[in-house]
Amino acid sequence: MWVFLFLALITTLVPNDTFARSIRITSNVPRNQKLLLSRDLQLLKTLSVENPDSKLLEIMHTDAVDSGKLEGWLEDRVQYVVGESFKFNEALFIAEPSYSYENLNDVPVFEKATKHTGGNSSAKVIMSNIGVSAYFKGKEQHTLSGLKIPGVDDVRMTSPRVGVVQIGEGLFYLFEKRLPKSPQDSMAKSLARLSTLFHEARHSDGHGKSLGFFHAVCPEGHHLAGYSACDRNLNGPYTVGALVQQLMTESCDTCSVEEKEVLRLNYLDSFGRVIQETSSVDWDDRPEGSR
Amino acid sequence: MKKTGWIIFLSVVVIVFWRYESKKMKRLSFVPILKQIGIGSAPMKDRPETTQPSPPDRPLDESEFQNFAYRTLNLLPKKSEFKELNAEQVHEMPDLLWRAGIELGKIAKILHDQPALAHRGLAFYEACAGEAEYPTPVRALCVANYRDLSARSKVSSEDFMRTLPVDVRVLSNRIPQDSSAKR
Ligand SMILES: [Zn+2]
Repeated sequence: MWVFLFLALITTLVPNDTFARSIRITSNVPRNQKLLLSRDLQLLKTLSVENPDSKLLEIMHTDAVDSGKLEGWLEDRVQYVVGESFKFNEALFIAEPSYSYENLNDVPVFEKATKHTGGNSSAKVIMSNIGVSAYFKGKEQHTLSGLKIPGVDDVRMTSPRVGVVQIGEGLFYLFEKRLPKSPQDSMAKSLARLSTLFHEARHSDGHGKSLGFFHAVCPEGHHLAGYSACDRNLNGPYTVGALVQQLMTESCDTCSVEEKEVLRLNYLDSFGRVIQETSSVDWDDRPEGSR
Repeated sequence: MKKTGWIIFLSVVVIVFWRYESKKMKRLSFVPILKQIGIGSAPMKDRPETTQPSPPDRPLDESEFQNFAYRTLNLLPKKSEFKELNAEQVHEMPDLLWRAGIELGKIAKILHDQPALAHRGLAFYEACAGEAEYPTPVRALCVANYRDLSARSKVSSEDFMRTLPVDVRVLSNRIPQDSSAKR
């Protein structure tokens, strides 16, 4: 009895993110964002879909999208969600001055964007996979990177699959404008946020040249021609985000006609960023390193 | 006298503190208002008018729908408008397309609520799908709606579909055919 009470007391005293599910929404994520994102993730636990796209099954290395499957795929690629106040450069440290990497000289080729996408200092963070950036920086310098994650100890970036994603106000308030009639906790907004999370999760995959599934420059004739905003493979982040959004949108019974139209355009936009050329193939999705 | 002095002093402190707090509250409540008008989001360079009010909450007659549809076609973004975006605007669907989705959602809702306007809807989707200046995802969404609406209206869509570029048609097939529209 006393042991039980003691354990219950300890559970209430320890910060939330310590006992949370595998995806830890860390202590610097504002409470309202944490609540919405937790609710979004909760949806995935119960989602079970009949007749999913065969490409999605192939990408997820499964033969059915039954309950918990999508959540499990995500958890393998995202472990920590940090908030907008997280400063990457301040949190990054060298965990080991010398580290041996597999495929040390086999690295992604970055396509040079011809459109210059100057940064906008006033833009809000939506979501970004900072884990792959930290891992790649270490690999470039032959050191092992580490990240100081709020509420968690120092995390060694032994693989992009350690999975660190930064979210910001943009993820919540931009969708406020983009689905203006829908409340923040509506299914439509949850689906839009989740498909962004699946896109980012895919950046935790890849091996050698495919490491991070980095984006390619959109070809001439595309509305984003010259920007680094397309994929030159058939199983990258835009395909994953689109397939997940398509699956969830088309099985959403509570989404209105208007919401579905916006969500459909969103997944068509993602599918439309997959460069369709004969050289486009599936990239090696085995992860590098281990977590 | 000493006691009165203290009372006056404390009153002044309370008033000053109260005024400071109320000013602070005004400043704080101003922040969400700034956000409402878009400060902090990546700003749009042009196009002051990118949305139109929702249609009235009553059935539209044909000419009202036509006017609404005509304004919508003018609001949909052209490919040339995507040339000056920032990095933050291109990794995800740009706002230009979100707004296009909102406008197309209004049309879809009217046609859903008023099946009698289907023939006008077909003309709208034909104009949208056939406009080469619109980005492919916008055209593809219009094609999928044209396909489903023509099937529900028992109108053949094949001749029109043949006039469309392959990439637009292929992308439109990503939207599953409306089960109620299947023939
Ligand atoms: Zn990406």
